[in-house]
Amino acid sequence: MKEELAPHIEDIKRALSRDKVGDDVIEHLRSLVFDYGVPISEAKRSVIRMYGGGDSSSETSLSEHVSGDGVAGEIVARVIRISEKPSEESERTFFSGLMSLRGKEVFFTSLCDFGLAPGAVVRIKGAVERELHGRPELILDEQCEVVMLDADVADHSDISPLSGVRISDANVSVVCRVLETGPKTISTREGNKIIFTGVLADGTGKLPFTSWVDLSHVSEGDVLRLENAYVRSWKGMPNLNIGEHTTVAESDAEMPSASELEPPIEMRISEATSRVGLFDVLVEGDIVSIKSGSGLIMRCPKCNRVVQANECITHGVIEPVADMRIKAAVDDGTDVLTVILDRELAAQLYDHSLSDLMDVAAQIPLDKIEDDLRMHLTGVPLRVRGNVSRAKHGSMMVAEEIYPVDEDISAQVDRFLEDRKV
Amino acid sequence: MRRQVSWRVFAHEFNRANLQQSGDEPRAPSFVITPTGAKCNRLFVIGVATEVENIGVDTDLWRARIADPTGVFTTYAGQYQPEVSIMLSKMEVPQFVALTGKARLYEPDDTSTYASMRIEDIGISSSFARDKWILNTGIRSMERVSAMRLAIGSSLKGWKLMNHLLDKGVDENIADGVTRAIDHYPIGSDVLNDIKHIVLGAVRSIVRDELQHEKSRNIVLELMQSMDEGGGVEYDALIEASKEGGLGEVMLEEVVQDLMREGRCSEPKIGILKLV
Repeated sequence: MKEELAPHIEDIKRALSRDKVGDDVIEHLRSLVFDYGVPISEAKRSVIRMYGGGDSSSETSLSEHVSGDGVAGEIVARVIRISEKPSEESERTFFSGLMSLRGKEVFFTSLCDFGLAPGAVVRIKGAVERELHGRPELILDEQCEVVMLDADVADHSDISPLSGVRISDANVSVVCRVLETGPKTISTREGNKIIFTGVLADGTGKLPFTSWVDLSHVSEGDVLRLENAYVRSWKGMPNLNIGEHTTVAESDAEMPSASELEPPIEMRISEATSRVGLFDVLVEGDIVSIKSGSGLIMRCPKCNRVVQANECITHGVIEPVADMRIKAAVDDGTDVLTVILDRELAAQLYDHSLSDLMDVAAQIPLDKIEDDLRMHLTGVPLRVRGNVSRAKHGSMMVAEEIYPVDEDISAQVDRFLEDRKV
Repeated sequence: MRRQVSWRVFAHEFNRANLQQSGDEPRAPSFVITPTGAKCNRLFVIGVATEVENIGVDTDLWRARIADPTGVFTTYAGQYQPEVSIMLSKMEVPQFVALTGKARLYEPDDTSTYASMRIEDIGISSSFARDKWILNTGIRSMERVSAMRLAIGSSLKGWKLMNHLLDKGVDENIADGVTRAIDHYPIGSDVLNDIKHIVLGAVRSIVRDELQHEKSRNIVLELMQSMDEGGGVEYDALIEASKEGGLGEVMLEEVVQDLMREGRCSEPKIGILKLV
């Protein structure tokens, strides 16, 4: 029995930063495992908790922690992003997100609300480290001690990553590269006003911005440090607003190049639907349903609204203009998203142009076109890029681009079988 | 109401489900919970339609048997699914199909349970999409098997087990289904090993398919070269010769289509093929 427990006792020693542990500790572990049948990981955790108090524990980096399931010593980390996940089944809510420690990014799940927010720097005692899908992950529960630290303790503690920015955040500071920028004239009550709009990126996410102050000195490609910006919602997505009180300065921070920042952020659909709005993301899933209103549609020439016959709600009797679109439910097994493909993308996916459809429409009714669309597109795998916004009935993406799915899956198949060789 | 996720489950596992959770309110969704803890309201399947039949008496009731490498799904569409019924009525078998539908359990008496799908959406699919589905379903199934092993190893039940699984980073949907499955199904590690064996076999069949395809191609190319005396090869003769070579008509047609798409083969006259 002693031999079996030996490596685990080593783990405990390391976690408690001690060279030796007393017989009481060993006996406690033995009892939990052999008398009570507690799984070893749980038993270790319990022992470490029980005997860890009162010791001067030093900060440790993740790599020094116990391997496999174990309890981390004391760590100092900065929260990069955090989102709340309400459970539909139980009353429970929990949080998950990303933290950075000593330059490494680590995923975490928190079972309690510790008041963590993006940018917060915290000292955590007793977090559990797990390995999930080959990556380290921290679990925080009610037995952890979480202390907010003074912002000065860690580097760049006041800077938020763009992925952590939320609608109605105030006093946000970011360091990012300008991907696009340009003036725009808008009409206000006081007459025409010039504002600047564009896109910012920092490798964690992309964010559109609106500047109410003159930004003509800023060029595409510039790396900026913005302080005291605020976030508004625009078209269902967060939009970084630069106002009179925002400081705009050049930054010499390390930043990926514009071409490295151009691609969208790829994510699971469950992550895309957990946020209120996301700019320029990529998801891969299967078309599980073609929604009605797909195929050949008619629009009012004046307001572009979809109309049934030749009557528009706003404009009365009109000569409708033909258009083509696809509304599809795209599902990757983690969640489902409604994706809207415009005429160009629909033609790409369906392999028929608008004029093809119109030729056919002369002979067969519109809903037969929709049926044909269903027959050919249900079950088709899809990689699609666009902005995501959340509405009452779920999240929606207006697609900007679609990409072919790699047909050669032999490497993935090999890897799957290799990983599971008995 | 938010749309329910479509679960990926193999037929062998789904047909062994005999646990359901009905919604408490009238419009709340109901779920079928499988032996690996997939808590499904909706499923997504790509397989081969092997049999389509109208079994209705007074009204139409279409039943389609959809095969995957592990077994066969029993699927239905009735008078309230007119578009699907029309598609099924015109379907030629065998055929790759993709379907999304509601998971259902039918318990005619205390001793038997039949798992089936009520089809909501159906489309014609391809061997590539089917292979990708097998791989994805294999990945998702093994995710659930891992969670079941964690559950068994913990010897916990109910909310304690749920918390334990969540602690271990298991996805909430899976943790919920696993907690219910472990209470109901007599699952030990040998049953899980059987399931793993079947899942791996299914994924392996993808590769076998590709090798098979390669062999068939070579047979057809050789035959066409040897049978062509200048005027091309008669398709009917090619069918006969291929059969003797161990190659079925369906596979032959797939190979010929591929060759034509690649521009390696043409049809100068109806019924006559020629290698380019």
